Amino acid sequence: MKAIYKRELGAYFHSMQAYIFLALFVCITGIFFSIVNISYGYNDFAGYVLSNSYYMMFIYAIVVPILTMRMFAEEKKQKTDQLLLTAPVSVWEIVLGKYFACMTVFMIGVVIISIFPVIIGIFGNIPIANTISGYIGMILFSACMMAIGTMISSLTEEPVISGIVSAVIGLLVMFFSSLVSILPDGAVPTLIFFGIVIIAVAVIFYLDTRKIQIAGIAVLAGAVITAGLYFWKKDWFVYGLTSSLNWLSLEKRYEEFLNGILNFSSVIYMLSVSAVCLFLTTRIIRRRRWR
Amino acid sequence: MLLVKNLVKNYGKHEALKGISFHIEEGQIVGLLGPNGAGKSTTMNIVTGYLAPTSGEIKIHGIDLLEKPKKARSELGYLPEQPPLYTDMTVEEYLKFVCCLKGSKNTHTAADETEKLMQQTNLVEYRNVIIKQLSKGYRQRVGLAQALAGNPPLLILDEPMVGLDPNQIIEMRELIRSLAGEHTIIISSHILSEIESVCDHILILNQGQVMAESETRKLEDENTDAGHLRMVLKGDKAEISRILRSTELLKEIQSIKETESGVYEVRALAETGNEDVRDALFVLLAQNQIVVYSLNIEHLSLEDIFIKLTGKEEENESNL
Repeated sequence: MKAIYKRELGAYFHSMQAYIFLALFVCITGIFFSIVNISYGYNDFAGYVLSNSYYMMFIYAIVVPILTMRMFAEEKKQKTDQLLLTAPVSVWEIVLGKYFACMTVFMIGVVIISIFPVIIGIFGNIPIANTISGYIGMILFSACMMAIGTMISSLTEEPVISGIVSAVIGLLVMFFSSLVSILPDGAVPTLIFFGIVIIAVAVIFYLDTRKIQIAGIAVLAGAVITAGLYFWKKDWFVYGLTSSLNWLSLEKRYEEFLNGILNFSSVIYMLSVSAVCLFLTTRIIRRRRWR
Repeated sequence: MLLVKNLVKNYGKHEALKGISFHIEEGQIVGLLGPNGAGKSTTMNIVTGYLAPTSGEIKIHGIDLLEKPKKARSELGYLPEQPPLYTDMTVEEYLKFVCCLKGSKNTHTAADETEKLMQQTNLVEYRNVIIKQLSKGYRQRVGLAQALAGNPPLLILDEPMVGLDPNQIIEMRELIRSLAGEHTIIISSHILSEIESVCDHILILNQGQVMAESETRKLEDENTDAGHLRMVLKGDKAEISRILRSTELLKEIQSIKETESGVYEVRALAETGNEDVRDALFVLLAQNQIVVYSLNIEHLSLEDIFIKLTGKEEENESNL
C-alpha cells in the first residue's frame, strides 16, 4: 500500500492535478473569506463560509472531482491497471493507497485554508469550538465525497465522464434534503420507496454474485422486514420516508458540524459511508476480472 | 512450474478459451503461438491473475492462483502487450516504484534492485529520462525490466517484439535469451521466426484450443517425413528426368524447375517412405555424371506446421 500511496501522491504533483486543485480550493475559499468575513464582517468562518451553499457547490461539484476523476479511470485507459492487478498486492491495498493519497492532497488544501480563521483570530474574536467542529465536519464530509468519487472513477475508462458524474452526484448530495422535502408523505409512497430500495439492493447483489438465489433472498428478507415494520409501527410509515431519508442525508449532518454540533453518530455515519463506497470500489474492480 | 488445467473463459456467449490444459517445466522457454484471436492474450491475462477464468485450475510452483492469488502472483512477472508504464515518471522512479510494489523491504533495497534491473536491460543511461520521451523499443525494455522486478521465477511476455525495428528485435531476443536458465519464460507471438529463434518449446493455440504442444525440434521432426526430397542438380533436363524416373528409389517426381541456366530444382517423393534414400540417390546421380548441388530432406518450417495445424481446424469447422 505504501508504494501505491507514494506513487499516487507523486503523480498528483507530477501532473497539474494537485496544483489546479490547490489553486482553485484556496482561491475560491479566499474569495468567500474576503466577501463574507472581511467585507460583511462576520467572524464565524465555519458558520458563514464553509456552510455557504454556493461555496459548497464550487468545492464539491468542481474542485473535489478534479482530485478523484482520474484515479482508476486513467489506469484503465492507459492499461497500467495490469501492473497493479498482477502485482502481489490486494485490491484493498490499491484502493486505500490511492484514496489516502487523494486525502493527503486534500488535507494540504485544508491546512492552507486554515490561515483564514487564524487571520480572523488575530484581528478579532473567532468562535474556536465552532471552527474546529466545522473543520472536522468538512474533513469527514469531503472524505465521503472523495470515496464516492473513487467509486465512480472505477466504473469508467474516461476521466472526464468520471469527473462529470462525480460533479452531478456532488450536487445531488448537497440538494438532497431539498429534494426530500418535495417527496409526498404517507404510507403508500414510503412502501413504494422501500420496494425500490429492496429491488436496487437485490440487483446489486445479483450483479456482484451472478446468483439469482442470493438476489431472491435479499428481496424476501427486505419484504419481510418491511412488512414486519409496517404492522408493528404503522404510524411511523406516515412520516417514515422523509424522516428516514433526512436521517441518511450527508449534507444535513454536515450542517450540524458547521453549526458547532459534534454528533458522534454523524462521525460514525460519515466514516461508514466512506468505508462502504471504498468497499464497493474493491468489488467493482474484482468484478471486472470476471467479465 | 506452471500447470494449467481445463481453462475455460467465456466473454458473454463467446467462448474465448475452450478448456485448454498444458504444463510447463522449470527453465523452459515456451512460445505461445496462434493466429490473432486464438486466445493467447486471454490465456496470459488469466495466468497472471488479471482476468478470472470462467472455470479451470492454475498452479504456479504448486500454489493455486485462485486460492492464494497474492502469493502466486509474487512468483511471476508480466509484460502485457502494451507495457503498463506510468509515462509521467522517469525510468528510475518507475522501476523503483515497481520494486516497492513487488515487495522490496525498504527504499534502500529498492534502489539497489532498480540499479540491477537497469543494468540488465541496458537502461542505465536513460535513468533520468521521462518514459513519455522514450522510443517504442526503450519503452519495451522498461516494460521488460518491470516484469523482472522482484526476480520472479516465471516470466510471461505478451508479444514482446511487436513494433520494434530489426535491430531492436535482435537486442530484445538476446536479452530474452540471456534470461533463460534463471527464469521460466512464456512468450506469445504470431510471428513464427521470432518463436523459432528463441523458444525450445512450443504451444500452438487456435480458436481457444491447444493444437500442439511439444519441443520445437520435435514438432518439426514429427511433421516432417523423410520421403520429401529437394535436390538442386546441374545437367541436361531430359537426362535428369530420365534417370530420376527410371530409378526405383523414387516414387514420384513432383516438379522440375529451372532456377538458373542448366540448374534444376527437383522435388520428389521417395519410394521407401521414411527411409533415407539420399546416399543411394547421390551415387546414382554421380554415376550418371549429374552434378549435385544439394540434396535435402525437406523440413517443414514452423510456419508450414502452423498453417497445417491451424488450417486443418478451419477445414474441419467448414465441413461441419
